Amino acid sequence: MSNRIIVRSPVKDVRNFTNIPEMRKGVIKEAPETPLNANNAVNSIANFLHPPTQFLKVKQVAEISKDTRAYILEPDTAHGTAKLAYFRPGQSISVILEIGSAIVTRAFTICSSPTRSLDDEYVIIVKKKPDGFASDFILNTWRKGTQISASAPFGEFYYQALRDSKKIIGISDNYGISPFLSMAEAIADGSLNLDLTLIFAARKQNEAIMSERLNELAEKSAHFKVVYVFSDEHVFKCERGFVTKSLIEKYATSSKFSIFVSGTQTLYNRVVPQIAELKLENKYIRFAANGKIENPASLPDFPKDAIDKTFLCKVVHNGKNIATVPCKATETLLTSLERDGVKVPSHCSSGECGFCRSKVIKGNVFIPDGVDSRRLADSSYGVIHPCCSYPMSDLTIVIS
Amino acid sequence: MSDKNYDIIVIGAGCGGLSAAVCAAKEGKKVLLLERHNAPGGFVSSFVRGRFEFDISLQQLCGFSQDAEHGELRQLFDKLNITNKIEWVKIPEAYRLISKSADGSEIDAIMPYGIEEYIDAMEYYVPGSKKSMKKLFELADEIEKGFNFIAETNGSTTLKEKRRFNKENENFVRTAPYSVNEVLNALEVPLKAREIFNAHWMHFGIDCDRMSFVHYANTINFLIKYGSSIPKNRSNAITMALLGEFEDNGGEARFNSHVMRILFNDGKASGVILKSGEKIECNHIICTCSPTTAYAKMMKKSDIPVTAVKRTNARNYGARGACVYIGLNRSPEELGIEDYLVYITDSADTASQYTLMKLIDTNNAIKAICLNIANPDCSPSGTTILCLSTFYTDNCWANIPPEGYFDEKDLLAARLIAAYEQKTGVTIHNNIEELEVATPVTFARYTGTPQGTVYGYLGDDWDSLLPRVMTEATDCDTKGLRFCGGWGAQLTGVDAAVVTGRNAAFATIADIDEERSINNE
Repeated sequence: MSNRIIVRSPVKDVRNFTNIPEMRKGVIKEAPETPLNANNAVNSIANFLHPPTQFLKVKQVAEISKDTRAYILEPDTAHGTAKLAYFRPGQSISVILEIGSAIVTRAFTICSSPTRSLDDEYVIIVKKKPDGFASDFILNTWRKGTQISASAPFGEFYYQALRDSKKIIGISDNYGISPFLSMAEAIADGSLNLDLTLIFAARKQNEAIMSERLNELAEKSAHFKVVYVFSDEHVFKCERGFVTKSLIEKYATSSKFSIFVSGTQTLYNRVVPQIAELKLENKYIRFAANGKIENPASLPDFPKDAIDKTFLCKVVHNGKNIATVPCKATETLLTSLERDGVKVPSHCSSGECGFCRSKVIKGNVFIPDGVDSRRLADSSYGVIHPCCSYPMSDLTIVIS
Repeated sequence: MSDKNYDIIVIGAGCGGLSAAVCAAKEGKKVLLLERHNAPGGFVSSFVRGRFEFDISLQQLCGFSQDAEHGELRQLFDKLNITNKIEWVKIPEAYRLISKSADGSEIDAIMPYGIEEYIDAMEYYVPGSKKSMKKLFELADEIEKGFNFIAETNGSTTLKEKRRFNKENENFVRTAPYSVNEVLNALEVPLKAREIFNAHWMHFGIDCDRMSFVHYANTINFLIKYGSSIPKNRSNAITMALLGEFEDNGGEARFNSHVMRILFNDGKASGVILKSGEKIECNHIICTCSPTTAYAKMMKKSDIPVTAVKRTNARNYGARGACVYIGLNRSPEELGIEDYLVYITDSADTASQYTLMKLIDTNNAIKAICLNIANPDCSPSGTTILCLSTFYTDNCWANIPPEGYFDEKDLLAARLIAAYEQKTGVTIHNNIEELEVATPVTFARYTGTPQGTVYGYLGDDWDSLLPRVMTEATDCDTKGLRFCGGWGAQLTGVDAAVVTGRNAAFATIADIDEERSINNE
């Protein structure tokens, strides 16, 4: 043994050691008996910004076009939601819909400004989609007073000053306009500090939804501009054709800019090669999560021999087999399960958020390239995101 | 009501809960693991942004190595059959400290692994420190023996054993009552060497005027002696391996299962109620959330013993965490990043720095980790993962208005990035491809931890490792309910969590056996 170490004194050091338990018990003995309280401001802020559920009510319905409506949503105080969660322009909420025997979750980007949410209003736009199961249901059934169960705002499609250029070129079609509307509203009311030029692609002028509001906002703020590109007609002061590299360059007033794209798969397929030609760094290009892939069978890596097949998926929840569901190879597992009335947690439907995280314990799935945002270790343990996974055999999956 | 009879319910699937659950399941107990989040891990988890996967909090497993069997964590991982299920990478160097000494001079010290190398590096930075540093590490070896003795006897010793302990571990006994700085002073470690040695204090969340010397010295000795490792596929690889082992041993895990109430009957735990309304009966519960949360939110007042109320009121929260996760579109070489772990502080005097960390505006302390230095393939070629974390020694995030929260988050990121660039000379702000910020609010959101605390209860002098371990038996005053994990007896860290998880499992199994023998009489 090395030399004896003396800290205070030979006697005190040993005595202090022996006293350790009594010292601790002594401090505890002196403590008050005041009732314990785990509620505090930080946890309240967390709960305000990220409530597990927001109970909402339709406050007002506005006709936008013959197949498009805006829904103004307010907190449903009777069900326990007193205030709406604040958010970043570009973020979404998901709503749970019971359609016949199906239970589906759909994400909608809030198109109003965060500032308006402080006055208890979110606005979402619902546009009829071809074969739009959920959009049809909402357009047909939501009216003033309809009660809605929604998630907290979520999503990564927002301006981040430390990452993005302060000059943003937005590219959108009719289905992707909401995040840009929210950003434009926030720019106009002063709560968002950036320069946004929106390139809005549509077939014809009368098909471009919300253009009146966009024009108003562009007039109100020097930091927001909107450019229309119509493929099917010439309109004065508007562009004719499609979104091309040269069109983007024409409206990018500086050499440094970020591109934000939000819309359908058709738009993405069209603009991706154009954007690639700009040779921007990855960090300057951001795509909004846009739900499930429209025609997965057309993907080059989709297993062709599975295209017409239907498989059976056994669903296990809380240790019990709760359903056996027929699943088409060309539909996401989430779609099939939702249609069958299986309640699966989900938010983004795009493979991004991981909320539908489930585990395959038997069978195989196909996960297209580029949508797989699973974590490394998750992938090696059979974890999948059913919203972007296609069955390739009979399956057994565990859902949470 | 459930149709199954569980021997043990574990609340929370962080490392502590997973460890408790696996240990109990391996002993043949029927265990239900309940987690409110949709994935296991608690703080030991990861998330994906774009082409990057970020670890939320894991910095390193101290002393852990795949090649050599050192320490309780390695032994436990071996026993749980997970060491070889995980691919590990080694951390190349201990740490770098960039700070300002209390004597006014600048400090920029890169400290290696290996005791000799460490002492030599210290002599290089602080001439004349060698003799005292040698003495310090010799003492640390004695302390290690002391802790091993305590771990083997599990704290419950006879008077005879106590006497033997005191005799054989004289220097452990003599230094255990004191703070890091008090003992370093007694050893005559020069000021600057003390400051460099103390750099890891941020990992503990309490300054070295109050932090337990034996706890700190033992950890640092272990770290410097054996180095450290991390899983190649992020910390999620640890939790998924633990979860897999749990399920392979018949355990049942449920996610999205938030426990709202812990039920007691006749002074004994009798079950839980989930948010869904489901009631599950069980007489033995292991809880990983803070006792404060369990007592205040999940239990009836009449079910909480007065001693538990007093003990909880006596304690303070440890550090509240924050982290800026950055995916950069250049390689570490292109950016000029060379270090895995850099501590950057305004003051190397830990008590002064602790004070600066009470407020958002005065806190520029950073623990910067560049994952690629240890794990080059962790992100696509030509990119870098850099995490700048800090913590707050007070509840300063409580004063943020919710609508100002996002701005405050961005300000925090800007502040830490600017401080990092200024102190290291590395420029990163033009190359940020992904950026995510976690604040105390974020940690409160995902784990429910009070005030966004990430280090459990403060390891204050009276409530540091040794006092907790020596009084562990009397701390368990709720029959059928035990605690483990980051709020447990061994303070925080993956090692502390898994060890307390195992201890809670075995203590609970002993409770069950005792009950059976009473019932059989």
